[in-house]
Amino acid sequence: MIQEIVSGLSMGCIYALVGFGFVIIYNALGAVNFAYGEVVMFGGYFGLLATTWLGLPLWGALIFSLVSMAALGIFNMLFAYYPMRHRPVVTVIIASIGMSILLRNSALAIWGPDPLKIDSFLGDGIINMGGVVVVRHQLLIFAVTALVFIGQYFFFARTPIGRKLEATAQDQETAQLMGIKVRRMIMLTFVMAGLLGSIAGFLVAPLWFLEPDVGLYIILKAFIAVVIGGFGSVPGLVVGGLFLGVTEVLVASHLTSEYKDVISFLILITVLMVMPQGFFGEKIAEKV
Amino acid sequence: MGYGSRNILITMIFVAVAVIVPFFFKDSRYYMNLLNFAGIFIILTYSLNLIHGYLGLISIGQAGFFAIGAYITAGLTMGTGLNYFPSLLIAAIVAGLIGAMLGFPAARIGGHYFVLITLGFGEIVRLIILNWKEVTNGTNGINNIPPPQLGPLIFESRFSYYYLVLAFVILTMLVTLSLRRSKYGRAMLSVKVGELAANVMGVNPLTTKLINIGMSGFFAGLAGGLYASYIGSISPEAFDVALSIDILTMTLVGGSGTIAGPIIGSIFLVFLKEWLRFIKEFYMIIYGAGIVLVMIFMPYGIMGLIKRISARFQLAGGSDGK
Repeated sequence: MIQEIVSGLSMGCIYALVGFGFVIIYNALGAVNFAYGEVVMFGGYFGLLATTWLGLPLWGALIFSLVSMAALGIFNMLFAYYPMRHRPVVTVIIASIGMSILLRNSALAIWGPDPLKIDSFLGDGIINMGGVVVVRHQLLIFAVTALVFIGQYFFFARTPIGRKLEATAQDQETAQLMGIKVRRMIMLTFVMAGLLGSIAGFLVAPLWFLEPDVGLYIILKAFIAVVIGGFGSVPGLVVGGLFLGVTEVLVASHLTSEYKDVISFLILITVLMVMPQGFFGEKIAEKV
Repeated sequence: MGYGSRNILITMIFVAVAVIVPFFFKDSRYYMNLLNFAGIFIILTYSLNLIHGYLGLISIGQAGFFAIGAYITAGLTMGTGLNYFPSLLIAAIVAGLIGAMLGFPAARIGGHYFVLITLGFGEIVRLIILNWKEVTNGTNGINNIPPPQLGPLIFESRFSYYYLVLAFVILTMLVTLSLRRSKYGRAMLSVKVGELAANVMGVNPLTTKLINIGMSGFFAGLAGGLYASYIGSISPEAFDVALSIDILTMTLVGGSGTIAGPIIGSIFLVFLKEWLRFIKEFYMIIYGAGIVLVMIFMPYGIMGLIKRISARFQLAGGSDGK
């Protein structure tokens, strides 16, 4: 039981990381970005490309993947967001769906449909902690997630650039009037989301394997985590992610493994109907 | 959005052309097949056109309704021996009721949440038909679904099936046209423009959304039932997210919220997909890039483009207000 909870929590950490990248783009744009799951997937695939084709060691592959995902983020912004920034939000959402199809099928064309794996930085080993067997990779996931969320707190609250990003997310026009270069801030947001995607890709790939459809599942799970926690709230998405990860594992091992995803979606729909503001969020009814 | 005689004229021209066209392709099983698929996709596209054109929402879960329609129609005709047409009606009604249930969360939340709810819904349906092996036969699917039979008529050939599909396409068009003239249609459009204002004017956003999404589910379910007995065998992989995205693309490429848009979008994409088949996996890459480009350069679709061009030719005639 404790073992299941640990593995659920590690999965939940990944949902929270992906959810965080998803939310910073959402906050900057006011639109959901469907292509973000594919960015996470590409983060993993580019790591794989670096280790297998370029023969780089794992840390070299991570740097390669980080740089590539930052570039992918900029491409994503310039192609699938910037030309439509003055159009209705719906246009941006659909463009991101197009972008997600483009990326998913590029992955299919390059790497084929078979599941592929990248190694964990800590290997496949396990650690016995007082009777609970923990995979070393899970410890890595916990550590990285903790670092990212503590880091983001200081970044957004304490650094000038973080505050500028925050201001841009709250109100682009006012931020512009304050002398903030909004375009540059949005680009930076996409770059940060890309970097996060790369990290999340490296963390998820040893667990789930990489295949072209994996991005879709990641983004769906991250979205559920974000909604459970309360849209836009960072503590919320961490709690939501962990809750979803643990629930999934418990459902899969005690109730039904085939319908585990069905249960996750039902949780999503129930939360949206019963308490659409989630655990921590603000009210989400349409603004007038 | 045009209103009245002009749309009726478009409908009549479409019906006339659609009745005649198959006679030129009567001997080509290949083209008759494409035409039948185009017809089924037209109904699907109208079903999304209802949600997007009238409520301004996006659904990427139409494949879910389509699957429900297909499996229930197949199940009823094969399991209980019920005639095809009542089975089809029941299947479409069930899909419609499930659609109406999706209206409840839709009434409480904003646009992008709805996108994800429908995506989740589509996946739930697909996972259930994949895993509920006792009823749906899992990955193997249901095979040897009989063709529809109406008294002495059996719709077995592709040519005869075409006219069956056409009849339902016309039905869908007529409902869409009359909806626009009805109080419900106007209520939906008012909710789309401003929910609070609509509410103040005495429109109940909840019932409006329930009716709209219910109707959308009904038509998508209808298309599913037509598909099942046309193709003869159904299995879960036909009902994945890619199908829902195809429907969305057809709606947008044609031009949402217009009467001709879904027809143009569906025919255009069914044939384009077929002709681009030789480039295989690159097709989907171009397809994705194409969606982005359509959003950049013609956000109102082919119909929007036609309107813009025709407006340039007749600057004075401003009767076509949207």
